[in-house]
Amino acid sequence: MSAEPDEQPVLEIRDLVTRFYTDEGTVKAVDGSSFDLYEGETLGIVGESGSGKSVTALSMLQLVDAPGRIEGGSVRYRGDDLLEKSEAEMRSIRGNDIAMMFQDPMTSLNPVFTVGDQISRVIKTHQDVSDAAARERTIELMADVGIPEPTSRVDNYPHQFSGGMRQRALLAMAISCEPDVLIADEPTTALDVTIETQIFNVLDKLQEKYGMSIILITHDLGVVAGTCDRVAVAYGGRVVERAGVDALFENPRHPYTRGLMRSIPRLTDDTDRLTPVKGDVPNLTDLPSGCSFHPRCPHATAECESYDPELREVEPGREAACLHARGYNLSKSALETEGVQADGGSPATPATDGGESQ
Amino acid sequence: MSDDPLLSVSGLHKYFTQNDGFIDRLLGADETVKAVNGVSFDIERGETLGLVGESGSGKSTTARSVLRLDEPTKGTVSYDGTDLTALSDREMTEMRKRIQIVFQDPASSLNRRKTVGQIIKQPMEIHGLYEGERDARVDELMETVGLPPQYSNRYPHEFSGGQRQRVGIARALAVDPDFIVADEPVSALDVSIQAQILNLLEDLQEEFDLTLLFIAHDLSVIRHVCDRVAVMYLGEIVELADADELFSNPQHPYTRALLGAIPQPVPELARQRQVLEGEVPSPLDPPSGCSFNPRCPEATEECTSIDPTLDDVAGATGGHKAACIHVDEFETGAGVPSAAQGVDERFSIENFDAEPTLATDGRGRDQGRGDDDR
Repeated sequence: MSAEPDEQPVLEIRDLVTRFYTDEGTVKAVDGSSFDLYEGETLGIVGESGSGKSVTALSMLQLVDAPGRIEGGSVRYRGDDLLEKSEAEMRSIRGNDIAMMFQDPMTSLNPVFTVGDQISRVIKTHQDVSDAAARERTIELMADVGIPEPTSRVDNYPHQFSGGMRQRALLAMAISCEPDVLIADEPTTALDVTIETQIFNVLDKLQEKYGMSIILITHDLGVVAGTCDRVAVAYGGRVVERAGVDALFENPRHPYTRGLMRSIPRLTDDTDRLTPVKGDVPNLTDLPSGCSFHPRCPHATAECESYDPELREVEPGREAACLHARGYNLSKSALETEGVQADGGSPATPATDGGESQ
Repeated sequence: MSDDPLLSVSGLHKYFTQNDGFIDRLLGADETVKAVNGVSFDIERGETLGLVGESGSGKSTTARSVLRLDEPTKGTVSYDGTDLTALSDREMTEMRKRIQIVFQDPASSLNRRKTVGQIIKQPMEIHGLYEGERDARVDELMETVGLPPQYSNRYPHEFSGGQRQRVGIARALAVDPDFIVADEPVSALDVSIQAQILNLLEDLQEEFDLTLLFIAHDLSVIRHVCDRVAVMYLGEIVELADADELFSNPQHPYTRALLGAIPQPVPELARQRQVLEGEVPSPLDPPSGCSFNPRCPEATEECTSIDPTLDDVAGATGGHKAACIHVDEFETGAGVPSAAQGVDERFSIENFDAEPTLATDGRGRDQGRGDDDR
């Protein structure tokens, strides 16, 4: 399950930058994102809308279309940088080594072909097998993902499937070539909670059977808690905290993660008053200066408005990108080298009253 | 229960007839979907009743039928002593001054060609209220819901999702209603924004003495907002109880399964989540007997023939009702354990360990800021 930090990661993403050049301005969808995926683990990438989590996944597979451009960083898959691969090379990697499963089962399946046809086609794209063998494998995969009566349902069209069954069919398609890595982008967001639980149970079983490493992209902290081994928290186009799942939920280090933990309504807690994160999720065309969370952060100081903290180790196995996070030992001289004037004498004060110094 | 609820729904049915077209009609191949199938509940003045269920449970159709946005097939909806189902269209329009709705998706429920000021003003114009003071009232309403009044000339697309939902709430408040139906008001919003809107609804309820019917699929949201909760499954209420009671001592097997399936944001609890097998059956072809019986871990032979009614649970207090022939005596437990330590305390702002090097080595906030150093 949980990976050793000294092991070589399956995927190593460093300083990934993807921008979209739109009429409204440049959207910094991914703005220097870094994380690793280890063998056999499930890594959760959790974030709200505009955190850049979906574009990160698309960028890893070079699936970003114009006006978007991957502009920097590296995506090392077992040592090779995927961003340097040609389209032909990527085509044999996608689906085969790294498969992706998308959010919306309504639009990801083609309504005019049977579900079985669509799964078989993926198999035949990557493997040299007969129609009969592909069909047999399709039925086997449909059974694997828990579709009842696969021998008859293989000939059904997508509209004859419920939402949960369609999502299972997409899962069957994604694992059809026994990929090394599965990227699942909000795989259960459109589903009811009882169906969601079923899908995650199937995913657990498949991971065990095929030994996949999984990246799970979600906005739901409950899903992360129940499914992931390690977590990367995304905000404003980058990862602001990385930790093992237990450590993250026990004691989050980044103020944003802490804010999320405070604001979610919980079944176990019946206090009437919730504690929201103030303000709104940032606009990626116009990210705040310095730390992009500072306008919403209860701990922000003047430094936070100009210094853009990188992700640093705050204790073995966990990282955070916050000047004020415990263990983020950035010395005064380092701050000054960065051009942040940090001499003031007064203790750190929240940024809410720091605005008058402009 | 008082004898004078604000809203009293009794035996509400809403059937939709599905026929695919001319040929089907010719062949008499009508299929009837019983979206709401005999629902009864009361809402007391000033309380919030939660209606929770999975998709296809009929919770939204119930609300729409109560407001007569869908005409009920059968049953009565008594609002402050008036049977809404017996009103003429004109009388119903008049009644809508008192009953308003907040929709799920603020992006599609606001007219994109109108400024938010016009959107908030419209209900007052329709009902001929606040003549001459409407603009002032728009400003006041915007302030009430936490929007700067100077934004009233902006269009919905210039606002974030959370702000648009605030506009939707201001519009509902414009005619000063007594009763608001909130249909999944936070499910389209980001997690960090949800809490802002839930707190706002709570404040407004107190300030304006509102009675709320709150529809949601998310039980954690329901727990925070509602005084009482009705759990729906395939067009029927299967359990009805005070919120605390429902979450600590659920009686119906479906409620228990639903609570067990929720992944809670606590790893040790989330890993223990229970799987409820199967799916909500098609309302075109509902199971015989209890509609939950094909998925129910407790189901017996009788459950396939006896359709249970929503009855008081023996030995329970506070009007706890369940519709299951195997619930004969009140049982405690089976619910959600209460957290030992409050979340607020654990993740509180005060508890945040500020980095000591920044706080204590004589540095800190700079008056000049770093901008000019760059």
